[in-house]
Amino acid sequence: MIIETNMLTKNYGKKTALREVSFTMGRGVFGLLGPNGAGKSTLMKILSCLLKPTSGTARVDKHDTVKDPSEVRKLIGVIPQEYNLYNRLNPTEFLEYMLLLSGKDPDKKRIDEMLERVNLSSVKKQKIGSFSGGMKQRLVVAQALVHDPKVILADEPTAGLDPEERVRFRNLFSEIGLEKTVLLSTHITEDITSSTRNLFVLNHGSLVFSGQVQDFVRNAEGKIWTSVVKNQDWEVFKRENLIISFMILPESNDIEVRFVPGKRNPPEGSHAIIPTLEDAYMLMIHQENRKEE
Amino acid sequence: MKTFVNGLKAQYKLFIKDKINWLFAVAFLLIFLLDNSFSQIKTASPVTVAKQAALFLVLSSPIFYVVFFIRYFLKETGKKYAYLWSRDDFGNTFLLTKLAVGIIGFITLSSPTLLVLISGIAYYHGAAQILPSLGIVLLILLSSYLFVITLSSLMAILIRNPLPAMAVLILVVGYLTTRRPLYLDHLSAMPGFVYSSQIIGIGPHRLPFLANRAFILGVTIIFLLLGMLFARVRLPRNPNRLKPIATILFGLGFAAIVGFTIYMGIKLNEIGKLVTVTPNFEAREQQALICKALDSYQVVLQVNNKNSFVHGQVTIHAPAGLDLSQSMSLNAGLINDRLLLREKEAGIYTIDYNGTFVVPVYSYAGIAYPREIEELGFATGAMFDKEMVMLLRNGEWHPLSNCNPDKIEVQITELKEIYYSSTAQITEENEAVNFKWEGLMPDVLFLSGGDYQEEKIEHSYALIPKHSSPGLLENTEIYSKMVARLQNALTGKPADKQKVYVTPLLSHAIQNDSTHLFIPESGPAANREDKEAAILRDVVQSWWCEGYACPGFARGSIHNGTYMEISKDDAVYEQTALVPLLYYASLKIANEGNTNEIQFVQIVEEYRNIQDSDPGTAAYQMLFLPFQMEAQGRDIFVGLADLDSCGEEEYFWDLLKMAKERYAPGYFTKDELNALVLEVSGKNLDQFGGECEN
Repeated sequence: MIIETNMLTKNYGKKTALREVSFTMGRGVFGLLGPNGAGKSTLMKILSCLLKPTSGTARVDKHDTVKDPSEVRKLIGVIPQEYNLYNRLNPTEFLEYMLLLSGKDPDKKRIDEMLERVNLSSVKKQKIGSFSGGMKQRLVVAQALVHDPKVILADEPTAGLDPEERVRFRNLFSEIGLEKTVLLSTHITEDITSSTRNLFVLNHGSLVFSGQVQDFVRNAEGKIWTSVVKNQDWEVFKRENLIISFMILPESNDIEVRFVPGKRNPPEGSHAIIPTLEDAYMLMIHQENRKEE
Repeated sequence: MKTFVNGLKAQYKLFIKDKINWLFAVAFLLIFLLDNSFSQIKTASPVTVAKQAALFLVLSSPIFYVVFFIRYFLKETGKKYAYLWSRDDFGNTFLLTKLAVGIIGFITLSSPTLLVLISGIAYYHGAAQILPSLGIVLLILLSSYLFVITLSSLMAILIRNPLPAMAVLILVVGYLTTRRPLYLDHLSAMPGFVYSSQIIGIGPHRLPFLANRAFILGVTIIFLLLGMLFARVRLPRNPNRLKPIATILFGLGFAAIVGFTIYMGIKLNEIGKLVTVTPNFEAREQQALICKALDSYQVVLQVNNKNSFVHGQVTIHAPAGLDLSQSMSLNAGLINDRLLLREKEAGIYTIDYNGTFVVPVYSYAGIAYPREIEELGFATGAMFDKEMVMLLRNGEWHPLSNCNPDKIEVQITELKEIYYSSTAQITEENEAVNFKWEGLMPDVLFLSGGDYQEEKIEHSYALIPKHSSPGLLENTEIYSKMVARLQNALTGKPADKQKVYVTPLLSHAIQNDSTHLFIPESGPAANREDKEAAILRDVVQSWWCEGYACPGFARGSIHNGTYMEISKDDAVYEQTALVPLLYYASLKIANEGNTNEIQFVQIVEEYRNIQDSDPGTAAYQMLFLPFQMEAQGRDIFVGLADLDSCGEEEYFWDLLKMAKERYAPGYFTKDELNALVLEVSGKNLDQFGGECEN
């Protein structure tokens, strides 16, 4: 196994950010889903050797992130959720520096390949400060790959990207996943469905699912319904059911809704549909939250 | 190492490309342009400009630099740089890289200022002056900046929040730069003007200076090692596993540097205690009686001039039962180590002592001391340093220093070169040189050694210490010129060729075929003309004391004219007519050299016009005059001016020479002066004003 965690726990004072999380990962892309505050970033920081767990262990290629962080750092590339780049450098200078910091010689050929791969070749002499958000994001991916790490830890890598960029990124991660281990932390379910079949779901610091995406979705089969609700009944309907998504139909002003029925049976005219990952995810989070309550 | 160097290059590029950092370069340049050193770049000597600029910058600029440096240092410790901290070498080399960039960055940002400075120096003084001037600037600036940058790095790692870290550092650096200790103590990280001695390479500053620099260097390295230690827990990443060998080496290194720093701190403390002692007035008072009672007083001294270690033995023949224990004014360092007073047999006493001779700061510091200390003059009377020995007869290197010894024997090992030795018998024995003086002996016995270099200057050649502080050669040349001018005025012939030695404590020893003067260091002067006049006053009074180290002149006391006591303990300023005579002589010589007669006449008229009937107005008028004198002194001064302008041309010089012949190195009263005037001119002094008008 490339990544392995065992009873990983992280407390910030009295607050528990991660609770006894255990999982293993081999090669390929692995999605990490969870709402804000679920512990995804904490897990990513622990795996990146930026944070020590309160208890439990995390290993990358058998190297412990606390006992042997130096070895772990050589194996990983990190795509952070938030980042500042050196705006006064150009991409080539930036990647040269990143290679240096990874203990490698500045390899021009490798840098050019990376820039080509993230479609930044045409601006390789341009200051990073002049880049758009998408270009910067691509450069961040390039820096994570440039030293050829075994593992990529990507924390919300597609946040803020336009649809075209997002599609390009998903494809890129799928491609990387052929040869490396990629842990893709996100709360955008489409990123996962289009790039992996492996999934972890975190909620309130606990690992609530670990397995294949289709198994996760199967859990929601028969539980997701659709219906058209009269506008005047909408408030009551909202209170009684878990709404996944809805839209107002312009011709009638009625509301078409995807939902999980509450205690009552679904209203007349409703019918069960094949759930998506987002549906399953919403359902699970809802169920977990109710358990917590 | 390769990673470190490459990382350093990359970080340096980032530092330099950050335009905000160049604000410091602008501030640095502005500070330099606002300082006097820039305005004096044409007129002052290159090294003076360089030293002045460096000292001013070191006292004013680090407080700004810490702000820019902290901003740079902590830039990547925020959460948006996780991609950097996940790279092993970023964290491994973080502290050292940032520190090195802080130092190299400072050199880069200060380069426009240094460029202006060296261009100015090259333009006005020639390209040969560039390197020595630049060396001085870098020596003073870099030693202080190294400390400030390391301290800033440690604080930044501990606090890890730019604003509080900046605030703490501004307070600490502000405190360190604004405090004014008496000597270079443990907190003198940025010594500034405290060590702006005329002599850096040798002289009494050397020992405390070296101890201070060594201690501060130790503290700097401790800060660095602590920074490395704290970096393990304070930087945003898991610390790497410690290798046992690296841990052991770090521990040993840390222990060694702590040990070294403690040792240097103790040493500095010891030196500090010795440097800050005040004279033992009680002992000196008792000696006045004791000296008269002695039948014989002989001193034998052995000097290991490598470490200033002195071993002395004194034999005294005096009435039996004499209590000598409370009357020794021996240097504190020598008492500190061992002092053994014995009455060997009735009426024969011996005193054995040894220790390190550290010159107390009151002997040389350029600050005002109480009059009673100033009046002691060359009380310490000796200097033992690396290959340097200087001895005055009545110095505190022997226990009854106020008593004149009948015999002095000095044995010195590893002596390099003797520059001056007064009428001594010299013999060599077992790789040591023995000097023996018997009977009447001059005040200054001996000057030897030191790492000197020869410089050709107008009228003479000068021997000045290598690595001497800026401005020394310029001052030396002025001293030499003023001595030549005095000799020319007195003899009417061109001055003889001279040798000028720069000495510790005494400042300048000037020797030619007809005279040998020891001149104390000049007081501060605003410009070159003032400096010449001030130095002339030194020269004239040293000429008066020729062959003697007159205590009243020792610290240039005539500079401000507030008092004057020469030779006789009971002399008081109000009684002496010597001050106005010497002052008038120095002014007259300065005037003849500068041909600025209008100013000379104007000064005389201003003294004449002081309204003595109204003390308040008189005091106010005196404020604007270069030299303070009481009413009687001013009368004599004006009378001398009348004698000079209304009488025969040679009257004044004849009067001066006759006064010296009769009274030097002592003083004389107004009546005695009048008698001399009568003898020279056939008239009384106060007759000349009226004569001239008629």
